[in-house]
Amino acid sequence: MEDQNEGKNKAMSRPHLLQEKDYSALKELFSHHIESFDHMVDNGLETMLLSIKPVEVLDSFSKLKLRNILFFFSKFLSFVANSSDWSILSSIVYLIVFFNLRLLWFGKPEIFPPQKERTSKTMHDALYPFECRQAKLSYTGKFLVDICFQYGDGAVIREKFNFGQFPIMLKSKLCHLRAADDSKKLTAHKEEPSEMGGYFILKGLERVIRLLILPKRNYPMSMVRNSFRDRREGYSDKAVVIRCVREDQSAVSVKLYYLNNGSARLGFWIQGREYLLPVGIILKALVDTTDHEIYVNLTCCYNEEYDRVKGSVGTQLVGERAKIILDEVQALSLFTRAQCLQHIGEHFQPVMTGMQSYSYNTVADAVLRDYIFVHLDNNHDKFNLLIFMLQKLFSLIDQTSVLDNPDSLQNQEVLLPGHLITIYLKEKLQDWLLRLQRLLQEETDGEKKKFELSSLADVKKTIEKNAPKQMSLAIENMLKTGRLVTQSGLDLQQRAGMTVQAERLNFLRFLSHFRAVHRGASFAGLRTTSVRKLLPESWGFLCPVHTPDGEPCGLLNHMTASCRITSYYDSKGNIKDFFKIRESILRVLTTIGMVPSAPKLVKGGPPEELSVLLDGRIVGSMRSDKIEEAVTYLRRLKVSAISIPVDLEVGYIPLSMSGAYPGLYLFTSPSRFVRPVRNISAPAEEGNDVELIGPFEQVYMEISCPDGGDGGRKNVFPATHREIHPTNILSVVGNLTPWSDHNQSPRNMYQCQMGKQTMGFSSQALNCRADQKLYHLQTPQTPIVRTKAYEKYCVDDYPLGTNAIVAVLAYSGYDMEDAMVLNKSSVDRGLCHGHIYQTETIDLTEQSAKSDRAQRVFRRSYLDKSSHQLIDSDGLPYVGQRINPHEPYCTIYNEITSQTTNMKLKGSEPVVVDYVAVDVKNKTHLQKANIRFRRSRNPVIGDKFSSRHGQKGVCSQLWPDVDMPFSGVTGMRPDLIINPHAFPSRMTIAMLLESIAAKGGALHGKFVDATPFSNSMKDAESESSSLVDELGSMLTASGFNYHGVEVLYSGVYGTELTCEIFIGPVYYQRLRHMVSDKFQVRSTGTVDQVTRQPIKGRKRGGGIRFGEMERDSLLAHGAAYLLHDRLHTSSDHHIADVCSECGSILTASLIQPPKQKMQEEVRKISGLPPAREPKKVTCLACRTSKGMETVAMPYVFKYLAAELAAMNIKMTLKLSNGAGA
Amino acid sequence: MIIPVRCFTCGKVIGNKWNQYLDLVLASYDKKGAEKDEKDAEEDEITAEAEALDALGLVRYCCRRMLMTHVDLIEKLLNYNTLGESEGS
Repeated sequence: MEDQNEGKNKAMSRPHLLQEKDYSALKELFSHHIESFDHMVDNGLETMLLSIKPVEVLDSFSKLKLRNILFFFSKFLSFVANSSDWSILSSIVYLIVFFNLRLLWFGKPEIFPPQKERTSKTMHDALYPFECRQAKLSYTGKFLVDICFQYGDGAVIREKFNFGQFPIMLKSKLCHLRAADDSKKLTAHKEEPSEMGGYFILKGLERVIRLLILPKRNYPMSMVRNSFRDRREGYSDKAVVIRCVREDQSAVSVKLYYLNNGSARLGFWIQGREYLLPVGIILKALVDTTDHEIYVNLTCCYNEEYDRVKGSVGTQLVGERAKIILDEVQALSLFTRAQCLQHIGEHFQPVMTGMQSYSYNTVADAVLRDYIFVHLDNNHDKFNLLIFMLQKLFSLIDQTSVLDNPDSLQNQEVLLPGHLITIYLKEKLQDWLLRLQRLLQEETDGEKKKFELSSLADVKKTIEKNAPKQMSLAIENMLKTGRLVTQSGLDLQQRAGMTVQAERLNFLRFLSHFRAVHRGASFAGLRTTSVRKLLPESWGFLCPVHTPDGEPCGLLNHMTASCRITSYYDSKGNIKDFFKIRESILRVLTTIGMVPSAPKLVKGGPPEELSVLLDGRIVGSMRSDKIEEAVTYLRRLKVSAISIPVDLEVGYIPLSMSGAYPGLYLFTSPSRFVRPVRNISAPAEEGNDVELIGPFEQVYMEISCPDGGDGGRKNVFPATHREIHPTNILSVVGNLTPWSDHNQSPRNMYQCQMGKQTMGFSSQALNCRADQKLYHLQTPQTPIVRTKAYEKYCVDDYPLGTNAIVAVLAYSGYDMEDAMVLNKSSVDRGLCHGHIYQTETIDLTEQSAKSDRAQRVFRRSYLDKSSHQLIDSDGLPYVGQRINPHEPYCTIYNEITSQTTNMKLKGSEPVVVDYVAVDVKNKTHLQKANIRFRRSRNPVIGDKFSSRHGQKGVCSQLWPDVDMPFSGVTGMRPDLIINPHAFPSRMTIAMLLESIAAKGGALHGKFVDATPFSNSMKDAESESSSLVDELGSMLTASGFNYHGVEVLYSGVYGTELTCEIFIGPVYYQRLRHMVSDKFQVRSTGTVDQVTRQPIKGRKRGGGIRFGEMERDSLLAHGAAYLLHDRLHTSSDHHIADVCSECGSILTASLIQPPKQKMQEEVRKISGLPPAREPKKVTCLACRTSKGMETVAMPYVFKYLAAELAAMNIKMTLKLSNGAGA
Repeated sequence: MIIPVRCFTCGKVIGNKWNQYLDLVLASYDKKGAEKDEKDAEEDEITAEAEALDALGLVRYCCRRMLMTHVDLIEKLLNYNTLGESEGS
């Protein structure tokens, strides 16, 4: 009770001592990963399974013909096992019933929470993530799928099949940690108190699915690509492309190409091949229509009255093009819908798998349904959309509208983890089902009469033979390697690099993995830099500061702290019913003046009427003078969330003189970016004025940013919205830089990079983890000067640096060129002390072959007592034991050969055994052990440090305390000295501010708020005092100099330094690049077997190559002896025997002289060392030792001679005596 | 993790002051708790931390930052040490 009270009080005064922190802000940063996975589990998988086409197997012995095709609805109600609070799931299943055929399709999927493997079937122990991390297991749950059978039109039989172990995302609905909602429960499960989840654990490694940028779904985009010209003769480079996404997240892109003759072709992909169809055919095949109707529909965008008026998109050419399109169809003598369908069916029957026996009409229907505008299920909608796309294409050609930029965030969305898994699994299951069908068919047709199609047991056996467990394995492998193994490519641009390891180097790096958005691997190779550009469209969604410099610059972006991604869940956590949402939006739209689209209804064109698209469906049109009002109304409803979802994107593209193609585009779909802004146009009621906006609508909105100005808006375009805070444009990491608005911008980018390489407190659950390598700072501190985000995201749980007292002066000469001098005594007292925790996992089952299982155990050798002081009787090291290089740290005993082998420590530095964990599953023999070593990494010369302002430096000297400059008043010596030259060119003013503020803060016992742009958010009244005044007066109040300088005395001479020195605490980060991990030295050592030259590689004690350019420089200096020394004497110097008679170096052979025993004995008795035999060499070719000479040469030369000899080339040397040659 | 024994910069022993510091901060917070509501906006108010640091006789800003910015993570790490609990129960 007391504890709690204390914690509470502490919390209020000192936020970093808070016992129960509020991690909700942090958790929200990860929500898009978890929500997408949750939806997959809840609903996504089932939708996906039902969308997989059933297969059928025909028993050829009873050749009854197909009689009837029936479609009927049936509603299945099923209770989800094990959970009482889940609602009843209802699903709609289409059954196609044939006679005497049997059908197979998928039913309800079930995934269970992870469980431990147990021999007894009654026991079910939950498997927790920490166990997986330590035992290098995968966090997976059982995946069951119903497979439905139907014989003829008999009853549906459902059977559950085990589809293996499905990887489960941490903190998702299936994860055991979901129930642990507070930090106490999480720590009880050996997790971080703030565990956010969102990743998978596979073989002990934590992996995240990378967010990928995709083209915005269901939005027709106009594009120009030179490659379009190469499609076929007569194609132009212009097209309108739409990426259609089904309910189950699988996507099909459709391209509408413009032909130079004025017509257009629709291109879509079936099984890796693009098929091109004249639009006329598709228009006619979609609905029963006449040429006249098509003509009128197409030309509705052109009206002579409005020709070349603002906002008109049509020209009179549209009519001519419509005629060409219609003529094309007539030329093929296709007049009616039936004929068109027949035509399509004829052409596509061979490529549609499993449709060979169907009528042309059915095939054509399937083509239209499965490949063309798959997001729509109504042919009228498809027809309208195609007309719309044609109009957009024609306006692009006529230059009445501009291109859409595929690189701009306006036309992009993101690929979420759950969706990726769903579409990947769909493809895998589809393949599996087809394989099963083939297998069953083979079995039925087979000569052997063992198999009986009518017997369920036989069929089940065949299904098991088809390895259903491979399905989950495929997912696991995809997550493990990041590679998609697919035939179709899933309408994605890349097949590799879908996942990355979530490194816990420090908290910021870990967090950034979940906020990172990648543009796609295919863009990394592009020579053009246009994709990498920071575009204004990404304002507020992607952080302009937080992108790496170098190769992935601009391709790997990070979402801003306030950016979210829409999901299938509404704010209350209920699954959104998009059907209902769209219905209610439509109802609202019709009340505000939209004319709903109906078959046969011809709308007006752009200057007077605009099309309204809802998720890629033309729902109607609206008068352009009314539309602005309607948009404001929609936004007001959106803010108050009345009958319209809060994250609806109201993309209103207004009329313009050849700007973007106008229209009202509404999006409700998931996986869009959204961010909150204030809506100031609506009357402030109920206090809630926060609107979620997307990048598509943002471009056409007037959002003012409270930066002191009006953004050049004046009064012409009054702002309707307002940024909540200017820091909303920054990512979490970018938000942590104090006063980043006072720094030169690249410095902030460097800090975003370096913040992620900092050695900090990486994990609180240190003892329950088995990471390969974990960096750890011994005594981290919280910064005195910090931003609001620091507390909001609880960075204090994982602090990243130390407040060092930094003096800015040129002192010892060791601080030149970004070097810095550390106070040796400060370091001795623990400043920046750190460790590396390194875990060695020894799995004996893994190393030995399966046949001789459990023959190797951990056991100490009884005979060899030398290792006993290092290794305990169980073969494992003592905890706390110091182990030097090449000493054993564990012993393994082989029971068959009864040999013991020592595992020896590699490297060149001593380690301490920190922790030993063993796997006790196998009770008799230990088979698996984790040994964690601790390597000391206290600051030494050559270690890298950095402030939070991109000011990195290397420690050049550990200067003794007595020689450091000291203050006459306080007697303080700085911890760290940096050179003043670090400032003028880099202009990191914030670092100077930080120094002053932290000094004042420490004196006043206050943490200073350094949120950037905060002065622009202040009220006008407090404007009087500037930031410097505020900070300076703090110092003067404590008797210090206003400008943060102090009088220092030379530590060497004791004299006063001629100028006052700027000194104060600055938060310093220790970066992970340390000399101890990098230094490379060699005197003599191992040489290459073949060439006898020194080997390369730091690990093996190799040298650094003295290469061509180094050689050139020595040549230029005329340092011939040095060159000879480096390249010959210190390398592969060799004295070879050469036969001067034949000139060969290969034929020299040593003759073993007969031992002169007598002499030897005499020498032994007289105590003399044995005499060295004169070496006798002979040439095997000449059979004489007459001409043998010794020549110094590089050993590789001899090797070259041997290699040449192998190629039947003889090399002869001509020996001469010095100068003559 | 655990408070360092000495101030990094000047070498003053501060390791013995952490618990006192916590108590002082807590006490002065309790005292101020009632008053705080009234003078919320006042900027020049002496913080609980400053009072505690003054009471401990820490004058130099190097020693003050040692206590002020220390993050006592050992308390959090001990939460994972379930060995003691299981023995007790």
